[in-house]
Amino acid sequence: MKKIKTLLASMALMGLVGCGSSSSTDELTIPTYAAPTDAACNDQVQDVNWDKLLQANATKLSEYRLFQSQCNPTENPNTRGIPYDLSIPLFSDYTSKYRFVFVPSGEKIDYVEGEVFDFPEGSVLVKTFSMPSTTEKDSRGYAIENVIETRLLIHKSTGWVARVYTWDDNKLDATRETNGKSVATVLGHGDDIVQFNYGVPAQGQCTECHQYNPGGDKTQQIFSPIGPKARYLNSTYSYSTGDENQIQKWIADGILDGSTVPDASNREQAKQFNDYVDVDSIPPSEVETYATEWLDINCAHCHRLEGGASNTAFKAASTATFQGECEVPVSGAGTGSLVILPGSAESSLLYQRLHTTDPGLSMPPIGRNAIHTEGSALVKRWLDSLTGSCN
Amino acid sequence: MKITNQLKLVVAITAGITLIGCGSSSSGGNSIKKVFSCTDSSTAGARVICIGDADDLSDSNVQNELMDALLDSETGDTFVLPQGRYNLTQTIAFQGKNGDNVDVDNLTFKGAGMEKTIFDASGASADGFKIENSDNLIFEDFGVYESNNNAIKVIGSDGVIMRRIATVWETDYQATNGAYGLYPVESSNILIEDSYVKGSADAGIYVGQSDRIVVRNNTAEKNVAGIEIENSTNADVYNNVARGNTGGILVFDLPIGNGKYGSDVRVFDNIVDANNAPNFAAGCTDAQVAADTCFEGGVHIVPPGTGVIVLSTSNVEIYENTITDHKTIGVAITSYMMPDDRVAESPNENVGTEVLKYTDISKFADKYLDGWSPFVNGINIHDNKITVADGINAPEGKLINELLLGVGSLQSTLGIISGSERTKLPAIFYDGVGQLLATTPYVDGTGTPTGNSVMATIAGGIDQIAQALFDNTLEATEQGIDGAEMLPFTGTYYGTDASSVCQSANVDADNAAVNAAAIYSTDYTEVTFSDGAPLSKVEMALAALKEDTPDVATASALAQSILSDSSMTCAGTAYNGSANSATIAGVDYGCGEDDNGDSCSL
Repeated sequence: MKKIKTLLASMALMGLVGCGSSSSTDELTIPTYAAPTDAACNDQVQDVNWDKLLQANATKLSEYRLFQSQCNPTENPNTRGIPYDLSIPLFSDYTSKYRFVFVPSGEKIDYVEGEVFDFPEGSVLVKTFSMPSTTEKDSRGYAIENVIETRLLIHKSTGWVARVYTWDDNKLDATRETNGKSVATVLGHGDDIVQFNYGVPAQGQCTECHQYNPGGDKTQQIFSPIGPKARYLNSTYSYSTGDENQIQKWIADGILDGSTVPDASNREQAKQFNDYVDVDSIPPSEVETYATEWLDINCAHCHRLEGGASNTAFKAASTATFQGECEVPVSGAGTGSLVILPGSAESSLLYQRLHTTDPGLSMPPIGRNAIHTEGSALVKRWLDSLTGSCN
Repeated sequence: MKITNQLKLVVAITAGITLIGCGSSSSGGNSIKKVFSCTDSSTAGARVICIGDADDLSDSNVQNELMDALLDSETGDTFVLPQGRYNLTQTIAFQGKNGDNVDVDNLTFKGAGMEKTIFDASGASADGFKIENSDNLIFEDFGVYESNNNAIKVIGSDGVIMRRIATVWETDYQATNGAYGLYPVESSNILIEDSYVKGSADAGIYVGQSDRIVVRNNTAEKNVAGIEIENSTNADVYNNVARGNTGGILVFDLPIGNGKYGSDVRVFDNIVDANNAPNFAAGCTDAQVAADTCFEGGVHIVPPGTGVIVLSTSNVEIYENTITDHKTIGVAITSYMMPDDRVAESPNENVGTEVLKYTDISKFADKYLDGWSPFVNGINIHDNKITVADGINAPEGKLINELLLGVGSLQSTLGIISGSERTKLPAIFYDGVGQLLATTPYVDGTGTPTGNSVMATIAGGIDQIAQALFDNTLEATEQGIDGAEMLPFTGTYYGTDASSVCQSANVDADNAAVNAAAIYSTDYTEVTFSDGAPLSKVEMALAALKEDTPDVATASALAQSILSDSSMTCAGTAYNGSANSATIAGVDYGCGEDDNGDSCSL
């Protein structure tokens, strides 16, 4: 199966010949990645440096002593670190994401219905973004990925702050980066090879997604995590000690206050969806649930009354407040398409914005440089299945 | 991102590179000499942060220093931007809190002049500047060019000054140009002055969902819409020049469902000239148009050659403007009936109690319940000079095409106009249909007048069903339609006061009164209804000519009334707006505040 084609041919395909760009005919190959060997990595003292974390000012990620190996932010967290996963992840250009929660001794998280859990001061969420060579399942894993960045959300007394560390070329440690970074990436994806620039966000961009304005009041803006909500955590995780429901695990490990958690039968729960779920295998009766939950985790941090895109006609929260069907776009959409035209993804602005990488048009506006074919296929299937008319 | 297609081709360049390779010309801009002339100040509450260094004015250093300055910002900071043209690779983003999560307000971004300090944002994925939730912002003396989306977007801020700012897309009339130039939204107390906006594929200056707005002394050219005030309240737009756009100045109120609807706008003493550009906004595909699935409320419907448009916004005063050389219409006043007549569809009384959406009652029910009205009232157009383009006789635009289909030939056939007439449309165009429906008595199935107008009946029906839905199953805030907004038959808007949409003392180049007319007669006794829907004057005239014995006299009178009628003559009390102002960091801006100049004394 030939996966390679020349730049020149593809430029012709895009109608760009004659623009004076490079006429290089370099061929692309799928890269291979190898993590540094253990010998090169110093084992850290097995105790998180909480004081340093609260200062949130380390130049090197290793100063926080979050992981047993300073090279490997994907496993073996130090004391009080627990790995977690979301039942539907926010798409980040096909990177593998390794998430850990650290809660200080003696403190507990409160369960919150519908929204992000209430984390005690001193809590830290650590997420590492690591690019595989291909999107195949067997291409995943620290040993064969290009670890790019580790993001920290640190809950200080004044609220959450964000810190971004990009991994050094030798992959032995990561260095604080405030201005963002572009990482040229070649990625195998099914029978295709895609090339794009993965974007490490500038610190100032973090709040673009991580803002929560209670009641839509912009003056009450709160910096908020996105993922750790009950519905995305109410799923099974394969811990080193065996499979366990994450909420149960958090209660058992004493980081989640069980008295604030409803009975298991009353906990909200999202579907499990990731790139390895066959969209076509989802029962028709459940497509809407899957799709709106995917839209919730990918879009609703902005596209809701309490988010940064509250001025638009698309509201993605997977509750009664979902809004989009037959809605007219409001601000600067530059199109005559309705947000959702039942029965036609292609004519729906929602899908058009997901299924493009044109700068200025693609959504979300930051954090996505590749098309998420699986997620957009899910949304397409749902939109195409909708009946009804906007007339 | 590049992806291989099914033939497994590799497209090996990134979108960003594509733009750099094939994008705008940057003629002129690159020749600006880079100059660093700034001294830091650490005065608490009034720090001055110099961006760039005397020995490093590289694009990346300037961008990075600006981003770092925002991370380290304190309330009261002024960021001094060096002279020169700098390429951005990232949006300059700030959401109101610095890197330590501390609220920061009163920031000033100040360049060396709008032609001297330029950020080329073509390398950033979306906006040039996107600043949110920070009050009392000042943008001054710089330019943002070639943004892929908006040049400067401000969200959720109280107090915004954009002064001597240029937002430019250098290639004319290109659909891929960005959306908005100067774009405050969901904000309040906004002053935009002495700025230059050119080339936007949407609106050059766009103020949306905001309150207390002054837009003055700006020049907007070669945008789709020069200046647009949308879903906003208490705005003064004066002493601007809007030239060479598709439409000059727009006042829109769209059904957005955010509870933010516009009113109280004054447009005065502007030069609105020769806005005859093609409409280059990305609109709908032919397939969408064919399937009638195209949203008709965006700027892509603006008829090329339109000076001023008011769309479904009430309480708007348009006066003392010079509105010249438009090939279609000088001033258009229209309800939302024009883009979408489903605003007046009867409620679906068979909606069950299990239904969870207000839109099942009628397409716009949720928007009415949200406080939106599709109609215009309180519109006063007076003392403007309005001319149509010499030698151009080509009204066009989807917004009016259907209504005016054949009007020219109808009028010339009937001898109403001759070939030498410069235009077939009135200089002031009013749809009239909202007023008509709001005043037409609703007669029930037995032929008995109900005492309500057609629109009031529709509103009442929607209200009743919505309440029933709410009482049963609908999980939403209890709402009701504001009867006044829906123009009840017995109200003081259209029912008894003919002046609610009126014009007076508008003259052409020869100081002769201009033509003004409604497309639908506003007098229901003169209107033929077909299956409950009113016929426009054109339709009625054509129907008269198609009778077994053509009624030429009636048709001629109707064709004449399309050019000019008395429906907008000010007969009673006309809407008179009061001065609007913006208060920013304790200073009031606007007529009667910092400005008592000629415009304000008109």
